[in-house]
Amino acid sequence: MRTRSRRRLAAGAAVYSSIVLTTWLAAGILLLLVGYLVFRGLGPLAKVIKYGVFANSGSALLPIWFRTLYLMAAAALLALPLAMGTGIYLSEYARESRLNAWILGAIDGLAKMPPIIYGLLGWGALAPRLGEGKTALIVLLASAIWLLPQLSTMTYAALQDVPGSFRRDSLALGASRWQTAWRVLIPYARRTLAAKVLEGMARVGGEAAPVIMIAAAWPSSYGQPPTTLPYHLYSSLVGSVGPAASHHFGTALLLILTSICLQGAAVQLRRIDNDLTGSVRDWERGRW
Amino acid sequence: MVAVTDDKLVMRDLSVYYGGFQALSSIDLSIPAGAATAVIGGSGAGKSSLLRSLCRMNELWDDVRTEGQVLLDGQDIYSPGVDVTEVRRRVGLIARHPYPFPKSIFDNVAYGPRVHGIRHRHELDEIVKRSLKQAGLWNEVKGRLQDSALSLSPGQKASLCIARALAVQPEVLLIDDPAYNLDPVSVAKIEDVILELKQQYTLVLATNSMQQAGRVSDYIAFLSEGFLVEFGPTSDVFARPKDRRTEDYITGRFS
Ligand SMILES: Nc1ncnc2c1ncn2[C@@H]1O[C@H](COP(=O)(O)OP(=O)(O)OP(=O)(O)O)[C@@H](O)[C@H]1O
Ligand SMILES: [Mg+2]
Repeated sequence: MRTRSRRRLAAGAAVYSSIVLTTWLAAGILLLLVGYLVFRGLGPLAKVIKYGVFANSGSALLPIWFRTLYLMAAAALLALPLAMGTGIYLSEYARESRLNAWILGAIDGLAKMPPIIYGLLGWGALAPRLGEGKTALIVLLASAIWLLPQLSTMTYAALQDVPGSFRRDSLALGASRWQTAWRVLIPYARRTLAAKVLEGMARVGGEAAPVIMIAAAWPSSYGQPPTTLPYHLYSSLVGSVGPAASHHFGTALLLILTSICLQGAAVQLRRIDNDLTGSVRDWERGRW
Repeated sequence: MVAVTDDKLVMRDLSVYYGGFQALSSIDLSIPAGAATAVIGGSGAGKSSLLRSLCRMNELWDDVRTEGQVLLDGQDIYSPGVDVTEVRRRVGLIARHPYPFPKSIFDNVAYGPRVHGIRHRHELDEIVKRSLKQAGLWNEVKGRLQDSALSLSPGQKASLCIARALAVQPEVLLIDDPAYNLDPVSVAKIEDVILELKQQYTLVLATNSMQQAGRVSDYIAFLSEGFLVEFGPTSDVFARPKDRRTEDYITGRFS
């Protein structure tokens, strides 16, 4: 009896310590990676910011970076109104039904689709229609379409998370569903929404697949596809011979810093929460 | 005894179903204008369902079915073509455990008027001041109208929700369980406000406290398991209940 419980205790301790160990290992690897990038990339990045171009490759990084930022912001701005409309409709108007549940599931599925699918969409559906010289527009549209289901489901989830008493009390005052969503529910959820938009932007800015997809199939007579940071990294690595050069590390570092800034802002936004002391969370979805 | 005035709200053969479950059964009840009517009954008797059916708030659930009529000044609020937002403006509901919006005190009270299209600042100022006075909160908050409503105490929050409901100038005010989750001092304060309000409004309150009904109401409607058991002036119902179930409830013999 004694030995068995002691043995069980020992097994538990072993499992626990190995979990702790792997956690530290994962964090350590991540830190090492970032540290290595900083070590190799900081110098070239500082130089490129100072002189505008990489000394050894001659390529300008800052315009590419600005274009990436522009793409992220424009895609989010394009997708957001439609996505919020969809989220508001699904959360506030649609009746609970099997069809509604199915639509929600479908949008969720779209949101989790690998991004290359959206590159495929841009290449297959948008490019033939928009045609020559419109590469930037095609990449922008493909990215916005990629964001659309993500931002729709997050709007829906954020609205569902608002304490039900706000919806109830607003409607009881004679507000319409739209007024209720727009004036009470969305303002309550605005930090969550903004955080999710930033995360979505980080995803758009860090994703090379749509651009690669469009670039790969693009007749060279149509001109270059718009170069974004991840695509630049990819294409310059593919095009170069030999090991990665210092400008590759500079590019990678800038990419990672951009992503970290956006994610960090998102975390900050989410941390400041509404203080609803004595609130209504416990029975909000129940009967009243 | 209270003089019987015109009926503000008339329920005719009103039944409410949640899916297959019947919560209210063929209610025929007239709510006198300019008086306070207490709807009493045990938990699950259908008090909240009745209040919600008077302002079409039961419709927030998808599986609700309402049969019969509810006449507001003689007009059926359930007839097709009726603007539900206007019904809810005229018949205000302060549901159980109301909660201020996460906005300033001013914006909470001004919310309703703004939703109904009032924009002018000085007009809103007037409404906010008047409503907060009516709710007995003006003196406590007049210096900090721009503070978050969430910084108020629970009792003040409850008063603020009354002010918020008064700001749209309703004709009827339905108050569900005003004592819920509040300390006795706050409850006493709210009961004082209710006594003031019934001079100007038609009030309907749902409560399971006989004492509270005795203190503030002019009429009592007693519900049991979705049926209207008894209705009459409060003093009559207390002195000479007609139904045994009412008597049991009054004397505290819950069945
Ligand atoms: N949204 C709903 N969906 C399904 N059933 C409901 C719903 N709301 C109320 N009911 C049921 O209808 C009956 C009456 O409920 P109601 O809330 O009107 O009672 P009540 O008198 O207000 O009770 P309480 O004193 O507990 O508030 C109860 O059996 C309840 O379970
Ligand atoms: Mg109730």
